[in-house]
Amino acid sequence: MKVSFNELKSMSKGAARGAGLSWGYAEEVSFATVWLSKNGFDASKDLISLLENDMIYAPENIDDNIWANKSGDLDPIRSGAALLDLNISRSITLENVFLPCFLIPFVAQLPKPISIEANNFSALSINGMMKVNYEDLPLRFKVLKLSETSDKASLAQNQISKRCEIADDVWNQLEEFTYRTYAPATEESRELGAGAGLSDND
Amino acid sequence: MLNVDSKRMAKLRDPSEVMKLSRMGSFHQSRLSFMRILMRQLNDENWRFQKVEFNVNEKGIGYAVYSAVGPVNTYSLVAFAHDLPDDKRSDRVIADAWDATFTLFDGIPTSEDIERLEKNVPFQEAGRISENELCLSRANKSVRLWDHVISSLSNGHQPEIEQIDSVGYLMRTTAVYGSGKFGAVDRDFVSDRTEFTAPFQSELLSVFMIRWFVLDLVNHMAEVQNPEKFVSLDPSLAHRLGIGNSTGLGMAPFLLNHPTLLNNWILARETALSRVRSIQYSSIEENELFLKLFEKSCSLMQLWRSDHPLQIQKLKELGNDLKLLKIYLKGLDLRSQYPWDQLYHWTSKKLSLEGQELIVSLMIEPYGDIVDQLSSTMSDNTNPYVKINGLKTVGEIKAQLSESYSWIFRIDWKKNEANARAWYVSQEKLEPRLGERFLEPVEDYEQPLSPARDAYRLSKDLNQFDDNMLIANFLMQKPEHRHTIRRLQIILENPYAEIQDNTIGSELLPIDMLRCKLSFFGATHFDPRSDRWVRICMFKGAPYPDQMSNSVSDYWSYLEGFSG
Repeated sequence: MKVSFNELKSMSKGAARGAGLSWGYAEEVSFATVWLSKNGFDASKDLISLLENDMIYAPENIDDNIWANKSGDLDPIRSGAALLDLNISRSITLENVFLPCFLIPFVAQLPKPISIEANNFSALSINGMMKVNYEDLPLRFKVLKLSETSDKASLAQNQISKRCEIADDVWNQLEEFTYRTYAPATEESRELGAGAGLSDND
Repeated sequence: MLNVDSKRMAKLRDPSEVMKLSRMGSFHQSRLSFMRILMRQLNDENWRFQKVEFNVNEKGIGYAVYSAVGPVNTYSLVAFAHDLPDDKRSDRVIADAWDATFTLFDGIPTSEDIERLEKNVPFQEAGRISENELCLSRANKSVRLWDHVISSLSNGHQPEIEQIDSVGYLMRTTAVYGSGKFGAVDRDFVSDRTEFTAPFQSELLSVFMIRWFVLDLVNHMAEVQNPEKFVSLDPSLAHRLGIGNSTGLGMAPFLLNHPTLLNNWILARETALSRVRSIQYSSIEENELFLKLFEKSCSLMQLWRSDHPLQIQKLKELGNDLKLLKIYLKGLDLRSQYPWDQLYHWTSKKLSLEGQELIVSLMIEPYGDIVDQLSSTMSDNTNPYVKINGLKTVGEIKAQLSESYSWIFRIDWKKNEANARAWYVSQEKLEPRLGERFLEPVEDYEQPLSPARDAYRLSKDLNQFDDNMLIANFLMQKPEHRHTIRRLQIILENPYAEIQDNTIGSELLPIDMLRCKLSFFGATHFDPRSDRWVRICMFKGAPYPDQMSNSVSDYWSYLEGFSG
């Protein structure tokens, strides 16, 4: 189905919250999903994989230059948000990043030109623009290196489509996640009501 | 700026004074309200309106198309009329059928477009619209006024003016969706159009044209009932009819979810007030206009009715305020120095909040030349993604909290009353609701609509960490505060972004939030149906689209030019 970016924004935030993320991280998920979609990459299916995976972790120590977690893969959202929180300009190596496509939107917000390098993959972020071949992004990068670059190539903004095309079943799955944030109706809530309670036939 | 004493500018009112719900719930429409801005724009740019098609049968079923042609763009209201049984009529979001449904189309729809819209628009939330549409909306009849008007017109006479005034509208909208909702175009793709510079312009353009359709529909239905005797509604009566709106809790969280936008609205109005208070000498014409609009407001007050005890009390106070004002204005020399500042100071000492805020709106009325330009500052075109500055320290954030949120520390959060409510979305309604935290099992589903409580929790947790720690590190350990840290950053740059009241306390009146937002729309006749549900009137007194000409009064909302 075709949805507006505003619908994708609300749905991805709700789904992330439904999957158990804090409201703040749900906002980050929503930002990243919409950014990718606006840049021509439908991340909705990957978003389901991300939300279903509860074996991903935040970097153990963001003061280090190597970000990793002994327990397993790095969460691209918590890693990406931390990169941006710190306005990273030093070189950082991230180990075992799950679904690295979700890292891209955060790197693209960094103020300095950044190069991203991994096995058979490289990308460049300048002034909020990003040159990425999303198809080359794997499920996981064993080692991903971010470093400041002096590259002055100018990147053009992708032509933004007015719609996001999302597979119906994927949208339904996102709705199911979001549904978890809704309170079941109870007798108490019905009795207390929404507060209208008067006839509208007047 | 002529007459404004730039060396002695009146200070902007402090957010701690303005951003209280009791005051925000007393705001009135002003020349910075979005309906007023829209009407000026349509008038200045010489927009032309056409009834393109009216295909409604004798049962009241069919569709109509009306177009609005501006200097660059054309928009069309596509209206569907339905035959709704009384038992299906509900203003609540759970309704699945309405008397009329609408969409605002970007351009002129083809017959294929109409066919597509006919399969979707009548179903509202259960249908889909596309990037070619800007808004989706629906309306229900005011049954008693509708029946009275139809029976009068079909019997060859005009309806009673008292009946017209007691309701104020023939139909009331129960939602006007825009900004990408249900598939509509995202605001980002149209926000660069001049006509949409100010907020909610496409939604209000829809409503402005819906009012025209409703007039045509009532005349049509009266005519088919009795083609021989029928007379059409007298334009001076039609003029007194607006479009109603019935709004519940769904709208209340908007002000909390859009802090920058809220700031921009309030800041524009406060800036206007400050400029007017800084006028050293006002002209005779300005004074006369102010006094005339004051008199109009006094008569309009007589038309403002409510059955709700809260509003009845407020109207009583406002009535008293107007009496006091009449006496005071007789003695006030508006030709003396800083007349508006004198008036402002007197009202803030002597009047209720309703009266104080009415005067704020009235004082800025004569000063389009120094006020209207502020309308271009009322949208929020900043990047919706606010990145967190994690390089701040715990100590810095603590200092900012005690500066920007000092008022939260005066609330006793240990008491149940301070936490009595919880905002949640119900499975049944898929809309925000306000639950009783200690009586209903809703806490696990709480929405982040309690910035005061959340900021308090943040401050408690910050105290457990070293002042020199970076917030980025703090957030790795306490991710539950991430949304609050982001909000604090927004609040720091936008002084009027936060409601300085407890939005989950037992004393909360959600209608205050609705009233604030609706006053910025330009609504009048606030008539609460409960503490969380309000009816209002829109465009009452405005010309109809086909009457737009260069002579449209800027003061239409005061029923200017019509006997009150």
